[in-house]
Amino acid sequence: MNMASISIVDLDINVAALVLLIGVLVMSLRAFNKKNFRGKLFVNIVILMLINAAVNIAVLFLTSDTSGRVPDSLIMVLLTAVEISYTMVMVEWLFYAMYDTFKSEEYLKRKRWLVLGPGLVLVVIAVINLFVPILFTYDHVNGYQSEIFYLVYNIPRHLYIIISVVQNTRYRLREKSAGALNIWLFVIPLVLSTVVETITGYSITALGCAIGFTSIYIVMTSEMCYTDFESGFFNPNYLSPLYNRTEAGSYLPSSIITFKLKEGEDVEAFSNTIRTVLPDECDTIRTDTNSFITVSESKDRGYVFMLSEDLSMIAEDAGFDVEVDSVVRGKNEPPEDFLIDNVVFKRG
Amino acid sequence: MNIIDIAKENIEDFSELLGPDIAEDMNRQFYRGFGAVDDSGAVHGAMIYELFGVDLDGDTTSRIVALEGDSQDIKDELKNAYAKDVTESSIDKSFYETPNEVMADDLVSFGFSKNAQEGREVIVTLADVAKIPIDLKAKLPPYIVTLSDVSVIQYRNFVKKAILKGNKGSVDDLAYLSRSWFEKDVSSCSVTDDKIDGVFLIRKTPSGVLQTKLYTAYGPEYVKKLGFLLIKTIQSGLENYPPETKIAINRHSKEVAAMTKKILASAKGENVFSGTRNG
Repeated sequence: MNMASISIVDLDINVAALVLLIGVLVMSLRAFNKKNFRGKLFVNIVILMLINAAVNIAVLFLTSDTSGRVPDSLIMVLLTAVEISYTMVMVEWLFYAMYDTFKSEEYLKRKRWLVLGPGLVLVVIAVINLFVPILFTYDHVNGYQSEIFYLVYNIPRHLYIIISVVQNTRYRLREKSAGALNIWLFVIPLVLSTVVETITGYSITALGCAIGFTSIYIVMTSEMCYTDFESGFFNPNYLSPLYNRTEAGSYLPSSIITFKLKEGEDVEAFSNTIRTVLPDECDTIRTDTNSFITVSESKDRGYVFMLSEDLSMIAEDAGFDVEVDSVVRGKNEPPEDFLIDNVVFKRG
Repeated sequence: MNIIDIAKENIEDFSELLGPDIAEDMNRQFYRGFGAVDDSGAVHGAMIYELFGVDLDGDTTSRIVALEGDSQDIKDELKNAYAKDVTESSIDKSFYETPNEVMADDLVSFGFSKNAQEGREVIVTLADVAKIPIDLKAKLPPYIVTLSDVSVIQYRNFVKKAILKGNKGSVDDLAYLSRSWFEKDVSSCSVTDDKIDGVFLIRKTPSGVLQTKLYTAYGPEYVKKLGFLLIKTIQSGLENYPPETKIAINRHSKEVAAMTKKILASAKGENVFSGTRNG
């Protein structure tokens, strides 16, 4: 590709991407607290993409001056920074996707070098390119020229995306759980923007990524409207989508355990205590000041017995006064009726 | 002759007749039994069965574990008591599997079918298992530990997760069994983020047989974890028990049967008689 003059369109696109990314970054730093690991990973990707977009804009400006006043070496360094930052976005994306899929910090730690390793190799190659032009070159006369090897160099970066999608899809199919909207919110804009960039030559990938991250941010924060911040469980608003999913047949509530804390007890401390015995597969909702319910799709009375026992024991050990009760859906009882009869809720 | 319920409180009286393993199992949630005793309290017979599916809404099934009696009349009385419980406990189907042809014939007269086949349970020794085609000297990752290294809460949380996923292995009463019911120094676990995400649970019977009870894993790389758990369990077994120790593998599912065939191709179940009846 030969870039002799600045493209206003390229500049507009990348400035739009930068503005979007700055907005997402600021909002994310406010929305996600330090304990939110998924939030931290997301912020990291946005920062890296921001750097990529900012350096890209700098390159576009500086390469518009073909008089030679801007040293070619500076442009090369900036172009190298673009490549490195883009590589790190892909690496960080895979970390984010792995956490979104498996919800395991430890698994990420176990795999960190497997994920980071290829990325670091790509970074080293990009640095070597400053001295030995194996990927691309730039000079103010001929502009930017990519080498054949650059196509090969790009493959691992695409693989990061492919792996994130394949891993997520396989895991969801095995667990028979709903699809991960988050992954596709980023992958689709990225793929589309890469295709458009290839066809038209416009530098649109940063905007594609920015749109993807904005969409993920919107979804992540929309989930937060169902969170009761004191307990960390769902708030009563969550009952409405839960009922809608039950009506649609995609969710089958089959057992409900209710636990009522004595008035005046520390809800946050209580919630942190009982969280250690609540399975991830259940939905726990704070239905009013001191009342909670845990809903699951299992009718197994053994499970209900175990969880009720665990809740009572752990609460008692920690000095909380709590009443625990449970109910299992009847054999022919419709799930919607079971939910209505056993939970007071407001429909949105 | 008096027909009485056998329970935890009086099982000791029947342990000589039934053997230590069945006597121990009578402490479990879904084991039931009737005993025949005379007026002086002497034991003359017993019938033991295990229920499946009690905690769910589907069919309740009963497995006849033992039927012993000094005479045919005593066995008939025991069978009548069982027939009564079929109605009271809403048992939909009963089945048996036994190498004892006398017991099989007794049950045939009670309406059961009778087939001769290879039994579900495969008995091998630790020495046999030590020869399976996997690297038993492999260095295992630090997150593969024995059951004795995990806490009661971690164990119970895993059991709840397994039940939620509908996976109880060959222990229908998994929710009611404590961690100590399993052999803690041989059973193995995979721990990620401080939570158990894979187990190979082994039970040691009073007669000294190691029984496989639950072998499953979840989360990322679960197949790899299953491999590590198998190696860890075998390593721990060899460290704690002599090579001639028997291991009973219950091929209760297609997956377990396939795995047994793969690693112990020559192992076969003993010849048994089996049959079913409605109710």
